[in-house]
Amino acid sequence: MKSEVLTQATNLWPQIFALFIFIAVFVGACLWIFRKNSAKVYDEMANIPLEKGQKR
Amino acid sequence: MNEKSESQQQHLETFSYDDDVTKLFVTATLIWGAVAMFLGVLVAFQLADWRLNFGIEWLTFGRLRPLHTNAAIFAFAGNGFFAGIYHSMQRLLKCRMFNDTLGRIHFWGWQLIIVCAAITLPMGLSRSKEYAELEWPIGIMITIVWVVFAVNFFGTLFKRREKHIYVAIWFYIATIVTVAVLHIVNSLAIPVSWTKSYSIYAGVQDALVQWWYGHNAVAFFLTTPFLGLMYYFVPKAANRPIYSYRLSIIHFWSLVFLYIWAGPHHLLYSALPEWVQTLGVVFSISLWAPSWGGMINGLLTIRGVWHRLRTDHTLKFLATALTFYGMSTFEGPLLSIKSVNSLAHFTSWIVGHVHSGTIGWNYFMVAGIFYYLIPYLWKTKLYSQKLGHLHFWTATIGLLFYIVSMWVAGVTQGLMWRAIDQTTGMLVYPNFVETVIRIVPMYWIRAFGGVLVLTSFLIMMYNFYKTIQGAPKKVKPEEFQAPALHAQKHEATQGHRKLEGLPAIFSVLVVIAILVGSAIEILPGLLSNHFIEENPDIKPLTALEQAGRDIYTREGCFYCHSQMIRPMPHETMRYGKRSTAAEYVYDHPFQWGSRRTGPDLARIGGKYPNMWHYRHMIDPREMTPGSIMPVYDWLIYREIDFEILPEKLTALRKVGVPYSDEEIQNAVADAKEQAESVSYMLTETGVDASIQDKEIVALIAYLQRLGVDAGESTEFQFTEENLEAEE
Repeated sequence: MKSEVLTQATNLWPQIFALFIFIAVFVGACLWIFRKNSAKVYDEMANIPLEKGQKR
Repeated sequence: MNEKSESQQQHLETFSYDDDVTKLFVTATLIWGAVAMFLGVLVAFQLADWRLNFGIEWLTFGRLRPLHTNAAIFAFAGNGFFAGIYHSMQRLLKCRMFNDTLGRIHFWGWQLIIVCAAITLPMGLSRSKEYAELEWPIGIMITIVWVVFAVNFFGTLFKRREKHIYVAIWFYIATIVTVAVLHIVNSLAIPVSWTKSYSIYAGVQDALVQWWYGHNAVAFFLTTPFLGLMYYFVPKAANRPIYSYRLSIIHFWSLVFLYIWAGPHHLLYSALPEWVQTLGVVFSISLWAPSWGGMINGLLTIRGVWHRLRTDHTLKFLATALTFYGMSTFEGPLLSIKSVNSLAHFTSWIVGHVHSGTIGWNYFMVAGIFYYLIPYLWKTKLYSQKLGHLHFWTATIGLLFYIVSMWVAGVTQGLMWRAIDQTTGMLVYPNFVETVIRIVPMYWIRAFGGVLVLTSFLIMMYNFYKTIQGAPKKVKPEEFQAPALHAQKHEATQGHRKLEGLPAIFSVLVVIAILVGSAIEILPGLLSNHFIEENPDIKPLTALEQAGRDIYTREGCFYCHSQMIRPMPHETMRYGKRSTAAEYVYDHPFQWGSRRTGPDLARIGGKYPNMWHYRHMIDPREMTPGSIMPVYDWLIYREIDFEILPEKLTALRKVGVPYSDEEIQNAVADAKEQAESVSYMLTETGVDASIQDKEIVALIAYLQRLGVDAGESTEFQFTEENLEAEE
């Protein structure tokens, strides 16, 4: 089986497919991260290091 | 957040942080940092003047260089980020470390490993793989201590009081799981004794696994933990949230996914299969984007408080560290472009690049963090602001001397190597040593830069020492309150937020992200010999030659001499025909090297008589005027360990070298016989007959074998193929 996989190294389509997956995942992640109404969530998270915790 | 805590006053838990473990790591970082930098300065001067090992074998460049790199990476940077992680993760998760004792075991275990390294490396006990030199018992210790750290880390995650896992923690998770994978896979070896083992991989495969490890030691030991620290300490120092939390998500996943593929850029134009090299280049260049994304995210966090850089040492060092990070992560992809790499590889340029990362990024990050952490932990004020400024400028100017001198040395030597006379078609500098002598002044300037960097470190140490000395002695640890996680009202969460709440699944995803690239690059080479054209002429080394090879690896010859002739006209003219993968199938470990301080040795066999090598080891300058190689006269006194040879050959057979039963049984007798014939040529010309059981004979036997099986070295010919490779 592995030799079959290796013969595919010269086949262009799997490579284009892989490239497509890479770009699709990347673009998808970006779109999702910039979804509407997410600003509040991220502001909250970004402030975690600045919280001092309640001193006793 | 306020509403939530008000409504849950009754559920508040009281806790304190384990700051003592952080203090331990801080102290160790300062001590090992000074040791690492002192060693760096010493080996830098040794390149400028060969006499500076003082004739002592334990102080030779080949043995101290790995100690310098190990001390800088694992002792200095390692302890540094452990300190930062122990401090920041407790606060980010609002809980004490899972177990105080595990923290102590982690600390003392790690120091024990470093002490073992400091003892064994100068003795020449080395696996001869860069940044993975430590022999197998120490390798196992590293694994155990790392697991202890991991248990303590994940235990803390599970008992946390903060639901969301901040981005810094993701970087710590990536560090812990990836370093474990890298260390174990690259350390696999068959032991011969407590102090000697052979890598289970050979030649091309060993090279691929080693640089997959080596590059990702840079990525997951020197980069991701420090990026995590950046995401905590820059907002803390600037007192404002990170510029873009969204960018940090993209930064994290793309960096973690892309980095693991980049290793093969250390092996461009080598005998590594072309497609792996190309993958390495593509991903290395892609890495520019996430690296700069992270840098920009850090620097823009300082927006609005830039004026504080003048007075706040933490911010000043962190901002400078990010700037150097940006510079070296620009330079890295640049050096991965094949045509640039053809010039820069094997030269000092790479050394300069590495140090702009380790000094400019890691040292400056540690310094910045410590200017924040030490006054905070010891509840006091910094002893001297002025010394802080002096520290900063000494370090920065020293680093610039270092980087610029190495650029000049690297480009100069690279251009001299490749210079071919247009009319005669011959090398302009056929004698390698000409290209060495030309850059020795740059070695002096580099050493001077190193002295400044070391001085800066000592200034910092003094400042911190006085700070701690002046601190109040007994301070009651501060106590904090926060609701327990299970008592918090959870809003409906989804997507990445939900994922962040599930550290186990998050960690699994990180493992998948790093395994994709690893598997695609490494597995085909391990499972199939498809990529290595067989050459029946290539035979295993004889017993004596193997003994010689073990001396070669013990002395760290490969730190200065490559065994890899690249397919370029100037290389084939200088060293002989290009190296092929088939020639290395019995090399456990591979010895291709990464820097040519001296010439390539892949085809040194038969080039000079035995007597030449003998006299060259006693006094390199007698044979090569101007040589900067140290004297190896102990090889003439130390006796060959014949008795261990059958065990060595047996171990090698286990990893795939086809030694017959007969060869193993007769190993001692065969080796003695060959030693006699090698030394005959020496005793003939007046060397004492007792030389025949000395190490130099084994080493000469090995050197005389190098490249011989591959057949006659053919002079370079101007064929179309060769010309293309040159372009």
